[in-house]
Amino acid sequence: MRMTASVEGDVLVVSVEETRIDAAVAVRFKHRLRELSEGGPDRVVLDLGSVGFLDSSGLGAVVGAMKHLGPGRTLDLAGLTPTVDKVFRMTRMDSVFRIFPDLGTALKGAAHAS
Amino acid sequence: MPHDAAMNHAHSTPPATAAGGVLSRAAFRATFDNVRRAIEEAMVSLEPLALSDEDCDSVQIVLAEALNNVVEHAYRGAEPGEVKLVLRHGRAGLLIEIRDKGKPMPNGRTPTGDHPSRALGADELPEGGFGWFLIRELARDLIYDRENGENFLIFRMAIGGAPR
Repeated sequence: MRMTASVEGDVLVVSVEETRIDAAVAVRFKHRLRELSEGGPDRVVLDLGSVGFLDSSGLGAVVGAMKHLGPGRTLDLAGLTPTVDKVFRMTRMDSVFRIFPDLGTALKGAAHAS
Repeated sequence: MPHDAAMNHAHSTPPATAAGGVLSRAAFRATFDNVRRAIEEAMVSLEPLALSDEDCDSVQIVLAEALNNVVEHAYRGAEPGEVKLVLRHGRAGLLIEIRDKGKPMPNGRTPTGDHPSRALGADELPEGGFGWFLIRELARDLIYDRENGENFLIFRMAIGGAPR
């Protein structure tokens, strides 16, 4: 699972460098995301710009990661491609996350985050 | 990724305009990696239909959910057996047929596909149970049956201007 983390100001950016988050990789994705978001800034932005497809197990892993962060920390999403966006919208999980069109917007959005 | 020797894909030439013509047939061992590959090949077999991106997304989502369910549930705790996938195209849209020799659906029925939050408290977020919800949202005329130890799931996707 190719994923990287970097700190941009007061934001922890986790980037997924895979084209699919499906049942074949969901468990690895979930563990890696937990590992990379351990500690660091309270706000985590998950950049999904390279991910062209996400299924229900990938969706569950993203929701699980947010819950794992616990109170006081947030998980925002950036760069949802159309298919990924469709899965979030259909399951109404788009209302659970702050979703930004791309990473740049998400980082600017940090200035306004309360 | 090494090619799975047990995998055996065969495609017929897609008859783009025929009613009910077979677009593709595949048979493969039930693993998540093989499902991924089978979906990629299925999507290639749909190219002659020139579907919209939206329709392609729907097909890809529904195939992933239905086929991963076979891996995850039908063959749970067992040696992964064979899955067969057939795509047909006709006036009614895309007909998807999935067969496996795993365990039957619970109580012999397909899950209702309620949104998973229904079973949880108001402030609890679901981490699973989205699969059948998505299938129910996207698929039409879904039939499940079991004969001679084989699960048989068939449904229609109302794509390419087919009746909803």
